[in-house]
Amino acid sequence: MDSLAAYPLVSAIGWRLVIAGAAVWGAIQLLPSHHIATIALLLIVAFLALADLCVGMTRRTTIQARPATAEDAREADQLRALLDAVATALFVLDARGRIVRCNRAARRMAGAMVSRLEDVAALDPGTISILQALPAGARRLVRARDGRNLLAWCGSFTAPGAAPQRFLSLQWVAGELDAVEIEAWHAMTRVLTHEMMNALAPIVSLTESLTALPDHPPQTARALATIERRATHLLGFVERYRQLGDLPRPVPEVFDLSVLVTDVAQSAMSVLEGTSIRLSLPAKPARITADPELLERALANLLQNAAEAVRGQPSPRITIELTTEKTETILRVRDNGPGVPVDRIDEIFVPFFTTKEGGSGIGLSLSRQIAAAHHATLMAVPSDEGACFELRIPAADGEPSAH
Amino acid sequence: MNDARILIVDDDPDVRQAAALALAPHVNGCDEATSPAEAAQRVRECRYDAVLLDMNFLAGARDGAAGLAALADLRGADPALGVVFLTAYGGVSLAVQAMKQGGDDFLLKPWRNAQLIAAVRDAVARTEARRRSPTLAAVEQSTIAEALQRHEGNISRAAASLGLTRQALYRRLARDG
Repeated sequence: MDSLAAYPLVSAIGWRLVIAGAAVWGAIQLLPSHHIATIALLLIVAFLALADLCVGMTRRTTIQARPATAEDAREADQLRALLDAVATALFVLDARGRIVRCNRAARRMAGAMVSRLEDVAALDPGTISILQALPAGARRLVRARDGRNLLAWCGSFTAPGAAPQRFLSLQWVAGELDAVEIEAWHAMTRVLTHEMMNALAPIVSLTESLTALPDHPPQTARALATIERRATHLLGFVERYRQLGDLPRPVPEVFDLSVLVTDVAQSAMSVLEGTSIRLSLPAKPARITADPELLERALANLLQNAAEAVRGQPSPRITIELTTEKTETILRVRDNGPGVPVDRIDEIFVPFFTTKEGGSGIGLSLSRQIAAAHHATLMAVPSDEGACFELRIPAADGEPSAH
Repeated sequence: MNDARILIVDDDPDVRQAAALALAPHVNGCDEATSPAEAAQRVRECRYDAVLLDMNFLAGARDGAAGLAALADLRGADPALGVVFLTAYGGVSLAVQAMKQGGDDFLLKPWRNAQLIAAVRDAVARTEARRRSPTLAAVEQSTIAEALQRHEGNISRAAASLGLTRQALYRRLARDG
């Protein structure tokens, strides 16, 4: 490879030296004949050949990088095809931050042919300034405009004779992060459940035994009643932990999500009088590979959440939108309630986090867990009015698997 | 079950205390063991009517393996013994496994006292029933004795009525003395 690339370079230098040498030699031979014009012409030719040689030497890399043979060209095509096949978005930036080169995933993220990072549609200005300040070798999680997470990695490379260029790779990691987070919750839930149940066992039983003994003074009886009430409350709480830790493995099948959405919406309508529920479904069936029972649970949770959000609104409205795209099926549940405050967006999916009186804090967490088990993502996305929850289910190219 | 003796096996003294207090008005007495080994030792030494057996004895263990192994040891010492499993982490699969391996009941911690008492009562009744029910050898002996009596000591006719050869009946009589 090296010798192939070097060959045209040597030949180019050689030819220029030969021409320059021949011209100088001719000029020396002609000196006694006083043909001033011819001598001058030959010297100019020699000068031009040498000047061209010097320019060529400084731009050596350009000469070297140019595919000189059919094999090189084929190899370059293969490399380009390889970079386009990578799902990670790759941007090559010059010293002034202009996009010099990018692969297909990067073009998709950018939304159009763009020349600057600032014009990439999926990134907001805050994220872009973080990315621009990223030193070479650094890795960082950043948030895209739609709320999904991106893992950014910055590298730097210098081709011989060229100015250093920055290399930025951006990878969607929402599903992976959810899975890691949920696995951590699972592990913690198992340990906590075990510890709490073990600790509660003697408390509940001893309280019952003492209460059953005759002739308590009234104060003791009241104290025992309080212990029993609080222990029972704690018991209910731990029972919900169990529920969260016991999500069954998905049993995937192929079905039309439109039908399921219609069913769930209709049963919601019969319960929620006075709330308008609008459905927007695609013309063609939205066939997906997933566990219908689990998805029904997730959707029912989202609808219940929306129904609680619009309670007390003058004209409560819930909209369910289903759209199918080439690579994914997107389900959105919108409401015209008060919406989710920006600083709460991360918290609402945390198990047991609730803003509602008597809420369990399980619904959204469980729904996200169901999404993750299907390699899907569930997010609260910014909305003009109220809240909007978006479930993105990737097209079935692989088996939906359990966490 | 008022005269029943119960063995409570759990590494947590508070759990043993609570179970003993809950059972106290309903049984003759409760003994406690802190480990499966100690429990097996006690069952060999003394006759119990039921055992309450925790499923996990090692810190961090949740698979119930220790409890299932202990069940085998206890039944080795007393095949009729009724055993009620106790566990704080009860998946359905663990409960199924425990019952398949011969457990008489499966209780989740924390229990309600009424549940505990009912489970122990059932286990005591099962122990009693298993102790009363005759063994296979005893059934055979009594059937042979009855056949001999019916045929007034005639070995050939008794053997024919039992579907045995004379030699086979002689062998059984010789073995049983």
